[in-house]
Amino acid sequence: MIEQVIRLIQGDPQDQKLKETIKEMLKDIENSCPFRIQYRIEPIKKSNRGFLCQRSQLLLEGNLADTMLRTCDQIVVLVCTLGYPFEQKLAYYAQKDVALSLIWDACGSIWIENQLDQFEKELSVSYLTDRFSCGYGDLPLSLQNQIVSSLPNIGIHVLPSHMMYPTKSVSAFLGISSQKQPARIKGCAYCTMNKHCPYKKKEKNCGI
Amino acid sequence: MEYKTILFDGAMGTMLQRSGASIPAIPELLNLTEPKLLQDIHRQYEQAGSQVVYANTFGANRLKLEDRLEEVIKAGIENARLGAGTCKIALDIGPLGQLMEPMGTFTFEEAYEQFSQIVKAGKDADLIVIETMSDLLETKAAVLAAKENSNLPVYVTMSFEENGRTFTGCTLESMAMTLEGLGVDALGFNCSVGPDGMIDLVKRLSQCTNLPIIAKPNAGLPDPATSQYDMKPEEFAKYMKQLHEAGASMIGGCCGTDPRFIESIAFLKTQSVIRTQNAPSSKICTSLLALDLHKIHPIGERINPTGKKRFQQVLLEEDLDYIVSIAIEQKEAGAQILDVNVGFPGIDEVEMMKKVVKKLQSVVDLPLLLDSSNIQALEAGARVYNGKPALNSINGEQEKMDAIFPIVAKYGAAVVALTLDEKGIPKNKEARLEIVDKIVKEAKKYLIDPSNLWFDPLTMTLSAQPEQATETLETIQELKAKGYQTVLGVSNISFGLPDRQAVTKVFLAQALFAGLTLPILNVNIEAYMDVIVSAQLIGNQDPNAKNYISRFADRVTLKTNQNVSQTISLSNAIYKGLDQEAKEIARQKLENMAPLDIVEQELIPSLDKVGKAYEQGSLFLPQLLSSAQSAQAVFEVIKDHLARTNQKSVNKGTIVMATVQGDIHDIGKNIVKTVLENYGYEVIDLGKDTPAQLIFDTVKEKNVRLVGLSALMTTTLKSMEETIRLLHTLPDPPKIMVGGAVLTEQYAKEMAADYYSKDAQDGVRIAKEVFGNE
Repeated sequence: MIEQVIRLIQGDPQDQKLKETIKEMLKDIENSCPFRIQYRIEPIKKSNRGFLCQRSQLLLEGNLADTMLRTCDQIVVLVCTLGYPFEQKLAYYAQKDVALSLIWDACGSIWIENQLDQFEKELSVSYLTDRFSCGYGDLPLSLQNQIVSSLPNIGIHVLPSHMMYPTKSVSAFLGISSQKQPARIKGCAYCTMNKHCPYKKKEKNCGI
Repeated sequence: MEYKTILFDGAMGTMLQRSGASIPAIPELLNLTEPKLLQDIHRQYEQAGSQVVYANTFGANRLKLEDRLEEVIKAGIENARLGAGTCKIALDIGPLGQLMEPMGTFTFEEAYEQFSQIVKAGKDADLIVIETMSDLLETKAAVLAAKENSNLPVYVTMSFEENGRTFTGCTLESMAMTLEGLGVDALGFNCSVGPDGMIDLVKRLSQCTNLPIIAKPNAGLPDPATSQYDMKPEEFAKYMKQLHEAGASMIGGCCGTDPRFIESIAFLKTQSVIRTQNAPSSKICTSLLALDLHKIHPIGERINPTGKKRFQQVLLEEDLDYIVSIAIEQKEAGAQILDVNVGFPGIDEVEMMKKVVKKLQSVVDLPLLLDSSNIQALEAGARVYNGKPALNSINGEQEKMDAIFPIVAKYGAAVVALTLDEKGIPKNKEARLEIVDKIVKEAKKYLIDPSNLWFDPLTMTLSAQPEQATETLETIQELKAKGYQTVLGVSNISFGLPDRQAVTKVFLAQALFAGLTLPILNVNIEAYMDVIVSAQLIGNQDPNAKNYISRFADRVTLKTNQNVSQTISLSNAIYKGLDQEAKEIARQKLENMAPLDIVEQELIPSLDKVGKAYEQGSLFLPQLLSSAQSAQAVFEVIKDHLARTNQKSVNKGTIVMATVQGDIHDIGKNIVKTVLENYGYEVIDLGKDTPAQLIFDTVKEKNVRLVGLSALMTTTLKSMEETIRLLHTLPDPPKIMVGGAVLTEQYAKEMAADYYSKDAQDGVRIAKEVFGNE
């Protein structure tokens, strides 16, 4: 994870002090920012408007949903967060030292993604698609509110702009299929850093 | 002590879902459209044994119901009354669903206003229940609204996770301390966990309060595959019995429970709960941190404008970030409570106290000691304070006690009590202790426990009254022996003497040995904190000598670094991000160089070198930011010097910066701000999620010539565009630069921004262009 954080903040991979700071911060997140997750596995049905989740009545429209869920008959709908303690420390670092706030923020991003990867590994279901979220491709961000309110409360607020607070919160879907699923989401094409990524500019990638 | 068991009801939502009725987005509207259904649910709970039922008003507030609020609440209470006539009817108040400050923009005052309207509309109820709360400040607003707008009993339950914290991080101890102080009649937990997960929470709570404890857990946890709560009534009853034994005397159910669950625990009604009473003890808290004060806890005294020109200047300019930086500095130095004094001529102290308390609590988790001679300012601070505050101060003067004790009682605060009265400062220990007795007696009239009185036996200056130090120390010993809490500002002891630290640290050590637990001092002075940490070790208050070792093990390294500072240049110190060294060199340079020359000839060229290295790729982003931080430290030294010597501060131009409304990410904006400040620009930082109108008003009021707007997500670009449009309605609009992850040169042009700033260095280039050589 340390290397992932360094890449995310465009840090010096040789910087031992930075590595030490990241290591401490990841430990701090593990101890003081409990990863909370709520999810539901429910059947989906394809209609001419998109894929309808049978219990929550969430409707996933558009090309991305079609690509991801084409062969799926069930879906995992999830929300997770690192909660308010993460934000409180972020506010503290932002006042104390902007460099530390940048590192802390990146540690949070990498930590939550790793926790989600772990969650996926532990799900004992057949084949899972890549994880995907609203805002990816043509899947509208406006779904965010419905996802959060369809699951038990874990303290996430969806703002009118569809952003979630605490900022280290993720809502996501995973299709479940009886067929093996190719990787479709991971990689530069879907990354929010796409246009500005320093690695991509140098024709490299960050490996995430 | 014995507590009578009272049976509450179970879930309303679960029952509504199972009824098959079509549930509107605001389920409280059913009070009007389906009164029979509601009455039937209440009746079922009554028949199952409930003695208290909650009206269907949980989510009823003006934000959702607008002008229908009153009729919906009235109907909800009436339905409960008609359905469960033998039960007490609770006006049920849930969270407002808004993101409260400091995380969001919904203010304490707005929350109070919303809750007041609910309370007034629910005046026909028999009691008020505030439940499923996560945010302690929102809960406080609700409790104050209930207490100030009705005479009904007030019960509060918050949703805790098994780790003993709510989603917002509020600790169980903080909840108990704060709510008990506000005068609630019962408190406890609902929702979030099942009854098994609530047992330890009830055990812990029972050690924090003597009030009746409420437990309304869920029927276990929902099954992810079905969304159903899977616990059966029998299993629920088994755990509820344990919860009851653990101390919960007011019991019922939350999500997933129904009348069967209530019936399964009805047998507990005949069994009362016996709990051991907790002796009162001296405590203070914020939402995030609860302190038991029987050990040494240093109080930082630096948030105070007296004799500090720079502080006075920032108060007049409302530069709250500076005040926060002093708080952080003190926390890092080891302060565990912060004294907050913001009184200065020309300042509206009441408003300033409110603003500073809110701002400090948005960043620092330490409890605050609100310090003012202005009674309204003390009350304003205590009201918006998130947690149990302490006030500074009262004394034995009747007038003071008459004015301040009501505030202490109302907000459940602790208060510093100076051992002086109308006759002045007593000359001896005996007279001081007489005043203590008088204060304790008067406090009792307000039901204020002596544990909430922190007695200050007063430090007198040795140079003027050499016999007084012994009296002070002996008074501490006596107070300690009587079990009273003691607080003392120590530095006055050495006033007028050479090498003040030498005598102050010895006096501090003696006071601590005499039993002082709350020394007020400059925690930034290493020698004083050395004494404190050592005294904690000697007093067996530092398990495994952890604090002592972490403080002193690095001492040798620090000394080595100090030597390095004599051989390194300012430019190199900044390049390497060495804050302490950079500051030290700046201080030395100020002895024979004009402050502005240091900025122009040393600081800015150093920053240019750093910026260039970053652009060339030889310096990475975190290193650039460390350098910026060091440069900022140098700037602080210079600003302090300018204020002290009555010189005008450096300002090459004022820039308003904000993350636009709807966007809550501000790291990018903070980076640009830091670098701009390094170059001598004054940045008015309006924070994140900033309404366009606030940006407009600030620009207009201060005639600002450059505005920086930031947005991370595409969804908030619209908000950025609107802000720019509004700013362009000004007769002489400012230049606008925009930046953020989704921004491009093209977007910037399309939304009529003057500049696109791709990074912080770009921001500096733009500022130089806008302000030229002003």
